[in-house]
Amino acid sequence: MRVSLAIILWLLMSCNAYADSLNYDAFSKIPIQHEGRIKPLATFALVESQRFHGSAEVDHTTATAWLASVMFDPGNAMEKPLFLVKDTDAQSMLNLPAKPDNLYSFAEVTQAIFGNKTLIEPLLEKRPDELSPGQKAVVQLYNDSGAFAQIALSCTLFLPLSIDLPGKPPSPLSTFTDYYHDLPALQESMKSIITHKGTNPDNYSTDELRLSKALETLTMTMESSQNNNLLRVIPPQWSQDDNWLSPWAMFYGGQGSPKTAKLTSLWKQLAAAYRLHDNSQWMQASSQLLHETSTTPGVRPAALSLEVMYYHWSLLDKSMLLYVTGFILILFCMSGLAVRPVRIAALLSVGTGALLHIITILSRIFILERPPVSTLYESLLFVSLIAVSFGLLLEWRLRNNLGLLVATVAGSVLLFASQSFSGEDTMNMLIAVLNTNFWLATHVLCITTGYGFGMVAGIIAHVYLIMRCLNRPADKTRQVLRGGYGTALIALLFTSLGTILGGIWADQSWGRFWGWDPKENGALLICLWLIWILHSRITGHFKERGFAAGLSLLNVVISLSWLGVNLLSTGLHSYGFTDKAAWGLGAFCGAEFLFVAITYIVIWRRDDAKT
Amino acid sequence: MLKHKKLIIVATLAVLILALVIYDLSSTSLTMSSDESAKSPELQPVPDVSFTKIDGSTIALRSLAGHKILLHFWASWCKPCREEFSNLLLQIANNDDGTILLAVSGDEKIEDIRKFIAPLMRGFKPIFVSGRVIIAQDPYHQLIEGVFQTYQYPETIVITPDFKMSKKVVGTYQP
Repeated sequence: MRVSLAIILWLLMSCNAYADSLNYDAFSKIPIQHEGRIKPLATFALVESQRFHGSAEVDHTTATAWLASVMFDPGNAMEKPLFLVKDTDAQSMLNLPAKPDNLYSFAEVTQAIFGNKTLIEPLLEKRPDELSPGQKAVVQLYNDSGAFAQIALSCTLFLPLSIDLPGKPPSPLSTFTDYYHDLPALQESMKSIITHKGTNPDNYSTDELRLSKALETLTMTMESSQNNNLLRVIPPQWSQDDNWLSPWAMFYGGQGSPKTAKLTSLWKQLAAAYRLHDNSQWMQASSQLLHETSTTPGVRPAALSLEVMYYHWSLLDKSMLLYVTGFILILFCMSGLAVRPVRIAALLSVGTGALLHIITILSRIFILERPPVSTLYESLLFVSLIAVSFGLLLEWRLRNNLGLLVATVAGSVLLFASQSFSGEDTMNMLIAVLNTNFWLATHVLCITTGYGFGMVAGIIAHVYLIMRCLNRPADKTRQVLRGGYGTALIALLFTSLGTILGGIWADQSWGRFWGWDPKENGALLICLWLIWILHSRITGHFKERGFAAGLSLLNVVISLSWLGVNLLSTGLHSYGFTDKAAWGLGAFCGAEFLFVAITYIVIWRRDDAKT
Repeated sequence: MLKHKKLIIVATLAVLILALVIYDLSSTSLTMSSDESAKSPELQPVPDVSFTKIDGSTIALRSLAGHKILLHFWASWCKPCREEFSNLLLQIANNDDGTILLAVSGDEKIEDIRKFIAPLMRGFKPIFVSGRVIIAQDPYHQLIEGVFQTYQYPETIVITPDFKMSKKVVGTYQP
């Protein structure tokens, strides 16, 4: 009800803005507290536009420009197509008309939701696993429209109200707070009018009608802004906790101060500049707002600027492209085509990719002030960097393209896997148990380094199996496998160390060293697998091809331990749970088994024929 | 192969030694992190403003520096404010620490303030006479809303003797 009232209210006050020609540099860096951390508005905009629209651009404008339009011109923004509803069941459940782009405006979605209230309400009571995909999409749309309404109504404290009070000249710049202290008197006057003339507006004089409308507008503004707390752009003033406030939460909670008065004034200037399309006032207000909020304890302007650049340039995508290019070049090189220049080009490509990769990880360390391995996504970035770095080191030592091949394969595959997380804010806050830099810097770095070396060893074993199938000279294949053997030892060192450290951390955090948690079992499985194949090789139980097959399958073991156990959604390592990549992981494991089986059989038959 | 065996033994020993060292260090690290979590509250500077007293004279807030100041925002039409006011005066009268109550009313009409204050001035004459209670008015809310962003009455800002705002109490003031 509040939302529909708000639509009517803000449709009346839409402005004619040409937002995309404004300069959003300073605006994009204004800090906001969202999902437990301070981030620039640009990141917030990106997360929300992805959530509603499934894209970083809305209607050919950047996410930041779109956010500004929702904040400062909600009436227009509510009418523009935004919500991506691909599910046809959801469309038919909500009686949404079929559209080629599947995009619906907030006004359309709200109308559909209120028209199908009886259908939606029971769905909201159900657990996600009890819902069909179409029902899930309906619930998602319901929640998304609520979040959008929060953003759209977040700045109504700063926006001009169309109020025409008798005896008070209308001002185009007057906002809610300019009328708030008149509210008790207006309510008294209205009570008196109702007592004398009843509730039928037909009996009212022109002035009484104006008063009635003004009171209605103020009441609707207040009703629609209750519990509006998504846009937390006001730093805490009086409380000793670190919780930032939305403008309305600051207002209702009585958390105003001389500092918030200054901020409010600047936000009003910003809103006015947006609506008047005054770029110079816009830039001035946004720069001042950035300056004022940047002096808040806990806000690091350099980190905000770097985060805006991080998402803008997305160096990781470029890095992945360079690895793929390097891989293609190295294949050319190995096939004997223009060996020297192509090899140099491949080296340059992988080297540049690695440099961008390192810059990405260093940027994350600087922005988040913690080691770069706290989430599944971060572990993908880190493990791939370990693998690429080791591959380059191997290439420097052996100069036989093996290192480059390892680097490009590991870099491309793992960064491609990380793409499943693109479109969301990958710089999440850590849950309490992870929020100790000491343990992150020891246990998690060790275990992920172990994964990295393990994967390199696995890739080397793949190369060995392929070379054997291609009947390459024995001395060359043996040299390759020797590299795999050494790498496997390093992998064992790091995974064992990481597992023991994990046990110590578990003892500190959960009160027990070992609890047969799926993640713990996974880590142990990698160690046992490595110990098994290494011992079998040392004792001569495994010959070269058996050892190479076992080492190749290490990739499967690592994938299941690293990513697979997160799909189970059980155990204490809940911070890593995900439902992404289940099919990808299954396909990867299947392909690996097939590859190892085929190559092993080919080599076995050939060896058999020789003997 | 012997070389690799040696490597495994050395690596295992290294793992164990490192684990022991880190286990030992970890307890110290945890203690430090819990100590660091204690934070002292940030004091805010007081804006340089002047208020109009109900006798028509002005008073600069800075002129009261050196005393603990209760900057109280209220209005005569506000029921909780009316209920609280005598308690506030009682607190000032009973405390001998030199605390000053600067009560700024958002009433538009000065008569409303005078009507409400008159009986209290008679009851608490010494503290009004000694200047420990000052009644001021901000009819256009330029300072109450424009500078201090107070919209809901009553609210009280506590200013320390070194002229910093230490806390804000929304609703009835509790020392």
